[in-house]
Amino acid sequence: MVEPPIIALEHIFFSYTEQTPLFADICFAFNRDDKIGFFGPNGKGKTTLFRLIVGLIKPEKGQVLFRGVPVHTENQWRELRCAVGFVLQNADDQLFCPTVLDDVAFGPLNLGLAPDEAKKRALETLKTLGLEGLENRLTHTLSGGEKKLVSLASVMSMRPDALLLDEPTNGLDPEAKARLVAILKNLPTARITISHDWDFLMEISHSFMTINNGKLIDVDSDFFMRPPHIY
Amino acid sequence: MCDTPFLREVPFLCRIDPRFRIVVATAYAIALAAIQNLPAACLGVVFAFALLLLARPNPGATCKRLAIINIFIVFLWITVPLTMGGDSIAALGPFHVSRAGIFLALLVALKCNAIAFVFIALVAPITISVLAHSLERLRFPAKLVFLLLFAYRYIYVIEEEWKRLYTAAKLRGFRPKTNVRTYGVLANMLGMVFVHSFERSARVYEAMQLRGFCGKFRSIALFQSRLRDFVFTGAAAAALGSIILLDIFPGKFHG
Ligand SMILES: Nc1ncnc2c1ncn2[C@@H]1O[C@H](COP(=O)(O)OP(=O)(O)OP(=O)(O)O)[C@@H](O)[C@H]1O
Ligand SMILES: [Mg+2]
Repeated sequence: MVEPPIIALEHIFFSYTEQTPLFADICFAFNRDDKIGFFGPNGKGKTTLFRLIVGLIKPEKGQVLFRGVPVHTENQWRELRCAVGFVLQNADDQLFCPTVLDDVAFGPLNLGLAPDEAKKRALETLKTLGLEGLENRLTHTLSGGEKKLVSLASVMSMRPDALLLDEPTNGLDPEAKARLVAILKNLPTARITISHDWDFLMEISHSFMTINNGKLIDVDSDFFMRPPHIY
Repeated sequence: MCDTPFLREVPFLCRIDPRFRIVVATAYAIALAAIQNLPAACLGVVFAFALLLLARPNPGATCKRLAIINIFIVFLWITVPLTMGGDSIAALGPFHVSRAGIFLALLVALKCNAIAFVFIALVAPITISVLAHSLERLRFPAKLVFLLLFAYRYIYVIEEEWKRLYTAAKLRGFRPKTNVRTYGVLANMLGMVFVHSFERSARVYEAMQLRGFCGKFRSIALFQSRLRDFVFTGAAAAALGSIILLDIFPGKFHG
C-alpha cells in the first residue's frame, strides 16, 4: 500500500479580500521525505499557505487532508498541528513563556508527557541545536538570533513529522546560519522552507516551488543557475 | 522600567518551597491588615524584620522599594493627624493635631512596612515563572495565572515597541514640546502600541494552538514539600498566632 502524503491540499481557493484572490485551485502533496524550498516575492501568499496547511485560516473552497483523511474537527486540526511544526516568521510571537526552558517544554507537555520527561526532552533539544546554557535565560533577554533558534527548538521538541519554516534565517549571523544549515541537513524530518536567501535554500532543499498567478509551480534546481530569474 | 533587582539566590529562605512562602506571606499580610493595636503591630514589625534579615536581599534595592512605599505613608502623616478630629495634643495655627490621628498614622506605617518586609523576604526572590506555577498548584484560577505570565513576558515587548516608535519619530525630527501637536503624535503612537498589542495577542494565541495547546495549563515545575518547609511554616504560624493573641488581649501581657 502506498503511504498517503502527510499533508495534501485539494482544490484550495483562498483570498483575504475579494479584489485580490491569493490562491485559485491549488493542489499539492507533501510527502514523508520532501525537503522543499519555497520562494517568491513579498506578499504573494507564502505565509498564508502555511497558515492554511495548519488550519489557522480555512479555505473558501477545497480541503486539507492529513495522512489521507480530510480534516474537519478542531481535534483533528490539533492532531495535525502536533505532527506538523510551524516555526513562525516572528520569534517574539512564538516564545510566550518567561523562560526558555518553559517555552521549549510547552509543546511536549501539551503532547501529554510527564513534567520531568518534558524537561528532559526540552534540554535534549536545546543541546542538539547547540543552545545548551540558555535554558534558564529569561526569554525577553535573548538576542534576535537566539530567539529565532529557540523558537525552532520549541517546535522541534515536539518531534514533529514535518516542519514548516517561515524565513528561518532572518536575523541570523553567518555563523548561526551555518549551524542551522548543518542541523537541517542532518535532520530527516520532511520540511518546507520559505526563504529569500538563495544559497541557504539551495543547501537545505531537494526540490523547489514558487507561487505564480495563484498557483504553486514546481521549479527545478538549475533554474537558479540561469541568470534572469522571474523576479 | 522593568528591572528585577530581587531575583537572586538567597540562602535558606530561598530553599523553602515557594508555595509555603506564598501562603505564609499572604496569611501574614491578611492578619497584619486586620490588627488594631500598637503592641501587636510592633511585634509584627519585629518578626517581619527578622525574616528580612534571614533572607538578606540586596540592601540597595530593598531600601529603594521601602522608600517608595514610605513616601505614601508620609502623606498619611501629613494629612491624617490634622484632619482626624478628637482630642488634640498640639495646635498648628488653625489645625489641631489629634491624638487618634497620630495613633492611626503610626499603626498604618508599622503595618505597611511589616507587610513590605515579609513580601520582600519571602515572595520577591521567587522568579516569575516559579511564582506562577506555585500559584497554579495552590489552585489559583488558571486565567489569572496566564495573565500574570503573559503580562510579564510581553510587558518588555510592549516597552520595546513604544521605544521603537518613539525612536522612529525622533529620527524623523520629532521633538516633544508642550503643545497640541505633540499630544496628538504621542496619542497616535500610544494607539499604535495598543493596536499592535491586540494583534500580537491574536498571534500568540495562534502560536499556542500550533503547539497543541487546548486550554489546559501544564508546567514542568515539580514541587516537593520537605520537613523544613513544614518547620518553617509552623514557626511562622506560631509567630502569627502570638501577634494575633497580643492584638486580641493586649492588657493581659502587661501583667
Ligand atoms: N490578515 C490579513 N488580512 C488581509 N490581508 C492580509 C492578511 N494577511 C496577509 N494579507 C495579505 O495577503 C498577502 C499575502 O500575505 P503573506 O503574508 O502570505 O505573504 P508572504 O508571501 O508570506 O510575504 P513575505 O515574503 O513578505 O513574508 C499580502 O498581500 C498581504 O497584504
Ligand atoms: Mg511571510
